[in-house]
Amino acid sequence: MTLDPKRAWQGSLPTAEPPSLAQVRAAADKFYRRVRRRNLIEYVACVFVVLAFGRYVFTLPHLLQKAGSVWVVLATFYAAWQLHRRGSAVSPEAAGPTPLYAFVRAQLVRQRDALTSIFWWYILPFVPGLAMILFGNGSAPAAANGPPIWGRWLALAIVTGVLAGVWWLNQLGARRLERRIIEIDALTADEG
Amino acid sequence: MTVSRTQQDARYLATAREHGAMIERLARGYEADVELRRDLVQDIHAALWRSFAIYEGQCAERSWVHRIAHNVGVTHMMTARRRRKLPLVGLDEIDGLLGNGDIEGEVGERALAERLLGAIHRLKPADRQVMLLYLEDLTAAEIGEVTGLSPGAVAVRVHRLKALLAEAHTAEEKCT
Repeated sequence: MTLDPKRAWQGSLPTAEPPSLAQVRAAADKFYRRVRRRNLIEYVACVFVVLAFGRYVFTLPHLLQKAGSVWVVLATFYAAWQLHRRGSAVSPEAAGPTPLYAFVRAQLVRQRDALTSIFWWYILPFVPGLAMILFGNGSAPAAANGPPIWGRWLALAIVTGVLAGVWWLNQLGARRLERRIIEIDALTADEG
Repeated sequence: MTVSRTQQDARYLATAREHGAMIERLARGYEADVELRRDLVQDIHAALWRSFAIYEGQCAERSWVHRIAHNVGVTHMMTARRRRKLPLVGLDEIDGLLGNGDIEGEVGERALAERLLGAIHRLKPADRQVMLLYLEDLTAAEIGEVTGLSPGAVAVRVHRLKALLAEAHTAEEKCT
């Protein structure tokens, strides 16, 4: 008996019911929901940072450390504002008459740019405050009984490592978004 | 021209009904894991629904649907963070569509479809696309339209594919 590969392939699965329109729309909104969740986590983290460093203003011994804590609190407000300005989630419902693909692309570009420039609005603002706290730790009156010098260097290395890690992870995220932008451009390239 | 949300929904629903089974088969060609495949099918449907916001007859609807679906499938395949047991090969490197498995006792279209699937999973993205499209009975011109490959590149791959399928068929007949 002669077997037809095309017929064999096309008959290999029973006809499936497509997902419901609600499921499809929910899947299409996945990016929006992911951004919204990320931002919510960031805002909650901001509240914790403000509370923790707000407390340090009163509990840390050295003036430089107190000033550094104030700086970090202010930097947190700045970062939260920038996150809202640059990376807030925009619902696909806001697309209006804009073709959805163009809307999705614009959102991807917006998020990619926010991630690419993260050093300037999310990392750098914290650096002076953290530096003041670390230096203040070294010159605090109780420093003789405080952590040894290598401990301070270790703290500096950890803080630097965390900030570098944050930057690197965000650049990876930006590259992933860039790939999706290229895909959309490839799909719409022959629209004229 | 702007496509209203209602038009978009209607177009999507009609297309999903017509091409639902093809999408399932295509997803099977790109993802072996059942759970991940379910997600992939959902992603393809979501991409299809989104795409009808901009579809204005740029190409035949069948080509458009395949193009969207393969785009999602290839992206899924390229970004899957799983270790492959075997390296991916091209149609010119694959050593027969039947592989080295025992085919005794396995006859019929179902067995052939499984063999085809095994071969599809070993192929590199472009060759995988061509094979899936060929098996879905798209013409060479349509395959070129979906994949963006030149007519020459499509012809070479289809020729090689036909030869491999003929070889597979001859081997199966010998064994049965």
